Amino acid sequence: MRLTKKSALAALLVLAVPSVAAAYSYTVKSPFPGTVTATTYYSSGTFHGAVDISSGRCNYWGVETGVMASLSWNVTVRTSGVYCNGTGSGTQNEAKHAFSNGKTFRLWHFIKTADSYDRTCNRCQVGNEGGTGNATGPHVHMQYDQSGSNLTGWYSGYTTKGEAVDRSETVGVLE
Amino acid sequence: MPRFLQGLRALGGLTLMLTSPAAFAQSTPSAAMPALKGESCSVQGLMDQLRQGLGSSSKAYRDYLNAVLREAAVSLPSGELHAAFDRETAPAMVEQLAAALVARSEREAEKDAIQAVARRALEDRDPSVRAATVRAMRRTGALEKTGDMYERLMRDGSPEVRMEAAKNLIEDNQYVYSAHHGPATDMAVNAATASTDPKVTAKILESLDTRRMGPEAGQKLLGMLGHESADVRRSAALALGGVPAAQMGPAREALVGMYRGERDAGVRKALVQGIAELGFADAVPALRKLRSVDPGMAPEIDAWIRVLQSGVQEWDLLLREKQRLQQVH
Repeated sequence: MRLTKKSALAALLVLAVPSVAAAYSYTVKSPFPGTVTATTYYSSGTFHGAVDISSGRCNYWGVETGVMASLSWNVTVRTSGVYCNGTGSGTQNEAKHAFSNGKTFRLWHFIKTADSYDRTCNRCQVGNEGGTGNATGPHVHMQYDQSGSNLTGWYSGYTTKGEAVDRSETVGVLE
Repeated sequence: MPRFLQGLRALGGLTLMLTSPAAFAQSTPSAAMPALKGESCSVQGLMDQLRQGLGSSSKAYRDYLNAVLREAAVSLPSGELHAAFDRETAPAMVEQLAAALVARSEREAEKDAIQAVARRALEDRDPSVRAATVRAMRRTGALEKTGDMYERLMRDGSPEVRMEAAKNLIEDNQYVYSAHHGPATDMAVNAATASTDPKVTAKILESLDTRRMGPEAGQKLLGMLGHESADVRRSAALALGGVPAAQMGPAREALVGMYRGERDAGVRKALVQGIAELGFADAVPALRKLRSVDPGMAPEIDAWIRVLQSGVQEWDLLLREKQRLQQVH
């Protein structure tokens, strides 16, 4: 009986132990004015698990990192030059921030510009809207993932396919 | 009178005013009344609003005002904002204006705006103002944009300023760099070792995630194990537990070697934790050898051995399991 009580107490105390991992909550704004063209599923029914935003204009000025916080951004340029309709899987230009809890936020497909370099900033520009990597048209793909799985909860309830967004529009919240 | 009744009374008064003929007559638009004009945000207007709002008892309202100022900072006239910041002497307002300048810098509207804030953090005569400007740079890229500011702040004459700077270093590493940026970690270690205030050094080291720390900073951290303050030795031992793979060997040797000569129980606990974090299950043989050095530490070491043998592979979960065991027994 005493052991049972101890175990129950221990279980309660485990719940009371604060998490060691850092807690954060960052609002994500649209990187440029456009329309949400895909979220959890493509029209075909295939899983996508990210937010695609397109203005329909290739090389459109100023893709911003979107997250409302000062973060260090790692910008990887895999393709130079203006590409609007895809350059092949794995060749997308990318800006990402890896959080200490193992989650990573990424922006893909932008066109390299003079702003495409690593730095710490709050919603800074990292390129122009484009179609580098696996893309069929100019857009930005915003993805929040952990251990190889795309998370969908961060944008669910904040945006849907077809929504018109500008730079002040909340697309999701990272936690 | 309860607040909701006061609200109702005010609402009642407003209704009366709107329905009374005299009030109605006054509110009828006349040719003499000026037409409403759109106005852009002005620095002075925002400052007046802030000055009033900072006295509000509502934290939500104060947070709202802070957010408005930070967001508006990008479009405010730079000259006016700098002039207002230079003139202001009340710490609470200085902090808000400094935050607006830092926001301009972080949003890349005026990249060098943060330099004015850094200058004031180092040079203002009032320690409360220096502390306020340091707080305004928290959770930003100030660490990599302000040269040796943090090392200099570690030698500030005011303990409040030194502690605020320490909090910046901790939170910047945790939230801005997410512990993935080696140079930011190194800068925090360098600042901690440059400090002559053991409280500040210990505060930084005990909270620092060192997974990306460079070898030079690693050497400095090893040197802190010989510090005269037990708090600093304890926090250095904890920090060494998380070093990158290339630095694990020397760190383990240093922690194990130090355990035998250490007299402070708190430091010994930290040494055991550091050894456990460095080796996980592989640390068990080393911990068993240390068990006989101090019988008083045997229960602590046994608890770590039990936790490490549980097969859990995440450090956070191991820590949690250790806490659970301590609470049960």
